[in-house]
Amino acid sequence: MTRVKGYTSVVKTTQAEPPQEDQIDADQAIIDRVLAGDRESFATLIGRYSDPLYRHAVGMTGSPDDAADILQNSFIKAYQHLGEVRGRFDAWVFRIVANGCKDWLKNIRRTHLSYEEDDQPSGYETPEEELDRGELRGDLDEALGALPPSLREAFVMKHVEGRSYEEMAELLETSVGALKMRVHRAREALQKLLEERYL
Amino acid sequence: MMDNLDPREEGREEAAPRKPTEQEPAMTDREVPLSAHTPEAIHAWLDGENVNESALQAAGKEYEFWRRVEEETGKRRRMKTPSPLAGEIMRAIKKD
Repeated sequence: MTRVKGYTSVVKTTQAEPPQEDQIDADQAIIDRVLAGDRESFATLIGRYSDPLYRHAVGMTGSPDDAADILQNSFIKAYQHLGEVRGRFDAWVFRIVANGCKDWLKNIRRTHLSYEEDDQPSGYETPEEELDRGELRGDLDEALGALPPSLREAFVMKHVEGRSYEEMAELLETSVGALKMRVHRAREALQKLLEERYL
Repeated sequence: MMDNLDPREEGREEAAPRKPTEQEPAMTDREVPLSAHTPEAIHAWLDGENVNESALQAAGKEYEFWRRVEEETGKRRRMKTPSPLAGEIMRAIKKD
């Protein structure tokens, strides 16, 4: 919270930082090494980018098991086509994961799977957060599962991945205005779905 | 014909979806849910803008609700990839 000239303002500060220019060059250097035969170096790219991609996949599928499968298939696909990377590796691999999630949503008949049904731990940072099965967590999962995929994707990128609208626009190749509208619509739909219990 | 695995191409396919079949239900905006009116101050705060605290307090229960949602999404923002996954990916790559 910041106080400016007798007036109190509140700012949320949770933006994820996109990679800087030197990081992009460092990624390209790793890609060059992998393409030259040093397969082990690919592990560095996995370590560098898997967390935000995993959060995206969990947010889109609601299932840690399916998210892990999507991530595994996406990184294997990325490895097999590494020579086709042009520009930012993180943006390229994000699109592979995002498409994997969309394919999963197209093919899956169920609309919701709670974390409790999965074998895999969800990946929360602490055991306390992992075990926190508060009502809101389950209800939020269910409400997210009821959103159209484009709204769910926008909400997850903004709130779960903590991306700026500018970065979202770059990754999804659309405008900031369109994404703001999707996020706002997602919030209003979630509020409607949850208001009976929480408001 | 070879599969086109360029993720950008896949993205373009999403922009022009085929007609859905019974096996493949339409996925984009097929059911736009009813929506509540979320106050602008809440949207602005959630978007990371400077918001006067009194405007948030005026939103009452809605502010409290979104504060709780933010707390939960904050936990998800700190989620880590399950530790065995990177090893599994590398093993699969080496088998290739």
